[in-house]
Amino acid sequence: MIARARYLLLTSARTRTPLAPLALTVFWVFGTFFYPGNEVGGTWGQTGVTCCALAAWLVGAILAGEPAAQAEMATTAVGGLRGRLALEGLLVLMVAPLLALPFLGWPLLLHALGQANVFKPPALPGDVAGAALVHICCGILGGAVAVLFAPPRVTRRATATAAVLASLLVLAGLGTLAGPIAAAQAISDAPRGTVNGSELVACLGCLALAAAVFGAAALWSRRT
Amino acid sequence: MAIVEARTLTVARGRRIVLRDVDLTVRGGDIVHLAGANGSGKTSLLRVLAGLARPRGGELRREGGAAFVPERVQLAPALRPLEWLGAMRRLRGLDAVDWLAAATASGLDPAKLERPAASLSKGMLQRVALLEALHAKPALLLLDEPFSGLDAVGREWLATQLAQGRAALLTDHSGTVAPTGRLRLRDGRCEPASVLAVLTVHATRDGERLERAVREDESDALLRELLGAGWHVERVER
Repeated sequence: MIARARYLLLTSARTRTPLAPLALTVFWVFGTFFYPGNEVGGTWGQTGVTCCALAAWLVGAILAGEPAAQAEMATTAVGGLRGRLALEGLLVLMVAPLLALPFLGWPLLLHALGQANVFKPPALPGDVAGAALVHICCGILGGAVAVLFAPPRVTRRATATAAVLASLLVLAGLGTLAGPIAAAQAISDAPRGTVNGSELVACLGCLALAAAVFGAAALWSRRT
Repeated sequence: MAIVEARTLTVARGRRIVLRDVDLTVRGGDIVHLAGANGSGKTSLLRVLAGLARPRGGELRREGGAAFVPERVQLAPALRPLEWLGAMRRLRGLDAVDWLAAATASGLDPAKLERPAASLSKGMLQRVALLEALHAKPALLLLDEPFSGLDAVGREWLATQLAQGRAALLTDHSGTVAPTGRLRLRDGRCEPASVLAVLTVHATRDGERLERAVREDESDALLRELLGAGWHVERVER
């Protein structure tokens, strides 16, 4: 596991492709929390949805930054297509908390540095826990979508980009049924300072969708 | 013991079936040469055997790990080969290797392992990938045109390594290595072909010496070419 994580970190650090989604993440965090008096649930609901799209972009960018020949040699080293999918799953599990961290950490840091009205009323530990869940689960779902349309399943980058965007629109279209919008709705409606049942259900919904997307990726890999 | 055993394998490239009813067995120490025209399915078959693609039909059984080196090796431009070699070693769950010493032993300039991959030539990257694959000591080596980008020193090094009893399946148009088995891919079929000997031609011209390995069936053409260019052919060894 550590060896695979190190390989992914090395690949990510040695390509330029992740720079754009990472830069957008930074600007999005600064832009969102530039103004004081944010409403806790609504703001973190919105950044949770954003996290889904950013995770899709970042995972797709990292996978696209790995040349095909390098990916093939690594795939053979990890035992073939199943090992490759596990590697990609690990990448998603690394990216989702990485993206959640600034969205949660930056406002808390500002608060700790004395800017007391980042959130009005201030965020409670239960709010932070709920937001962490929503961001990570939305990130996992977004990352899974990127994996579905990554090589060797989709080799043309333009096609992959279009397919990921279309999938994110479909997820948004699911609204409050399941997916990132449902998670955002749940965190917005949750009572202050708690992680309630609807948040957990929404997060589980995101994870179930992510698992289904990974299943589809595994089936698709068999046909490549 | 068979390291790879395929029975009635169907291989596709995208939606197109490129090979049908492929039967092959590779045992320890076998060096099997895949021959065939461009587009005959050599790379597709190697990819299936490497686990990079699934066969569309038939049975495939592989014992132990494999290492695959594609024809055109590419690494992320800013990635240093030394970093990649270490990462691949860890991915395989193997102990660390002194890559600088290993590179020196193989005739590679170790300083080049610390340069970004973008600054290295095709042949250098191929040498790096082959170094990694050979040091992993997998049960099976799958090499796509491994000699095509190598210089004379590199070709000799690889031929020596392959002669050390490793099981390998390779495509090769250079005839540098003497295979123990040969498969010809033609018209979507894979048939065993006779193993041709590799001859070494020694020639001189104005104090310059030349030593070239050539397949038996291509030796006449080479000899004619050399004699036409004013070389004196000293001897031909089998």
